[in-house]
Amino acid sequence: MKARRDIKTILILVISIVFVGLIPLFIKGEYVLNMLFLLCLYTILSHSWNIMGGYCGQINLGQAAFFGIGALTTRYIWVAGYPFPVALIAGSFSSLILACLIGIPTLRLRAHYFAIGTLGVAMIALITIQNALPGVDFLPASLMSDYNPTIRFYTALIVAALTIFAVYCINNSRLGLAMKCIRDDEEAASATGINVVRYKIITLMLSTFFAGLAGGLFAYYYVSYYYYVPFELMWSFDPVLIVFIGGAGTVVGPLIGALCYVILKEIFAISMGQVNVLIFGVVFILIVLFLPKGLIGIKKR
Amino acid sequence: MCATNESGISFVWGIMRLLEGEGLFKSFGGLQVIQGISFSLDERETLGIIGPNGSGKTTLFNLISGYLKPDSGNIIFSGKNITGKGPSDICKAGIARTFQIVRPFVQLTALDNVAAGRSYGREPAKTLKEAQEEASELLRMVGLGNKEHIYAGDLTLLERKKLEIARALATRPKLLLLDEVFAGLNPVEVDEALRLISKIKSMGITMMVVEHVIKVILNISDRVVVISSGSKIFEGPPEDAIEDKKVCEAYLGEKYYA
Repeated sequence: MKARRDIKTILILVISIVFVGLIPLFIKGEYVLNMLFLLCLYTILSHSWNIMGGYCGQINLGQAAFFGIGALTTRYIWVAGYPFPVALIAGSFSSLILACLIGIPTLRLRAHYFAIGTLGVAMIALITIQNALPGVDFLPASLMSDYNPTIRFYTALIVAALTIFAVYCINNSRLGLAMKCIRDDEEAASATGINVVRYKIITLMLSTFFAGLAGGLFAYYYVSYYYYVPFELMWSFDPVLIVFIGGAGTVVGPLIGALCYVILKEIFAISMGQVNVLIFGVVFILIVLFLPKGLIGIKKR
Repeated sequence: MCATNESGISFVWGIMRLLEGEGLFKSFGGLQVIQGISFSLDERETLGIIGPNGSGKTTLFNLISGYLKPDSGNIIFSGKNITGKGPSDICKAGIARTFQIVRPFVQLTALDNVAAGRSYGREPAKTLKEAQEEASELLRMVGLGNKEHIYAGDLTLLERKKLEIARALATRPKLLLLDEVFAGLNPVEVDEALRLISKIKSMGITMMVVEHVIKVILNISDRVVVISSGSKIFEGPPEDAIEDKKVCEAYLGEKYYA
């Protein structure tokens, strides 16, 4: 019974990834490509949040700091002349190292205090960057000459596919089980032999690694942006919204959530400008009240 | 009378001493909850802990299982000093516990609840699949064989208690601490749970049982320790405990015992 459900999940995932990959072959244009890139970016970022928030139950609102550090480091190393994959991995590891530094003190905080602590980290990072690097990060001319959004989109798609695969593996592993136990009851988890603080740190490192990957792809795709943009707090809150729309603690949920989010944001941002933030606030409240298991929960009911 | 072999494990008349608490003290602020309790437990023995409400039974359990650190005193398990170690380390050393108010992982299936114990306890399973296979056997043993894929949050109280025992057993404990397993069960359920505990006893697992239901204590314990206001007031066979003057005083008050 369980095995059949697993095969179904894999099939859904593979078909949707291939489908997304085929779209640019039939519908040309930068607009579509941009949307598809955002879909991949949000899938990676929300899955990174999902590992920590959905599986391990720790509400991390510092994701923007990890996304931003990933973007900053990747861009820096890439522009310095190293091949992009090297820069991307380096960027992810910089997020992971930051996670170790921040996680060891903050993970001793529980529940809401952890959320507030990590939000503080994100805000500190944002303000620091706004003051330390007030300018715009331009891609140098040497790298501009071979700028090709199609290749960039496919890179993001591959990374997104790998991220989903990684989350799928975590979901079906001993590590995933430990995370879920911690989410359900920390004291019972430690009575079961799970070292709660250690597994929270491992989970945070994994989670931020993927946040760093997403940040790196952001730095790869966009030609120029203010240095502080990848540190903006929306990178903390968007993944929370996406994961809750789709279904927290599931492999497919964040994918559905990211799709809904990208489409809704496009509609609302064009028609209503900044008011779209208000709309998403209302959407979030409605989801939490009426669909606590997200859209994926409708099927399971 | 007492000898120590080269591996540091002490023997009393050839029986292995599994757990020993030496002069344990614990206070919360100005409240002395445990006042110098010493006790010992031999391998394969079942020790019953009884005492009025608030006498410190659960605190004693929390000291042994690492949820609280004693202010002073030592806890020796299998010849090793485990005082002050964290709950997960103590579980890995071979002491498993259940909670007075059951705490299953409600969003996980019964199978995964037990598999968690098998994955992270003593001698943990290498893979999730291996853990789940053994978990399945344990669920059948406690009588939840047909509930494998039910979420723990959807189980009845008795089923949750059984699940928690299965999860504790999955960590391969040398010592099992049962904290009021029978509280909140009806008489029929008490009998069923009693059969399960007897079964665990026959498997050779040492147990320490906190219980209010006297029938249970008389039935399963080899020896009883009675605690009142944080001190040990009686130790001996369970039949003698209910006859003891001090014990009756602790439960009923001096005036009623005449």
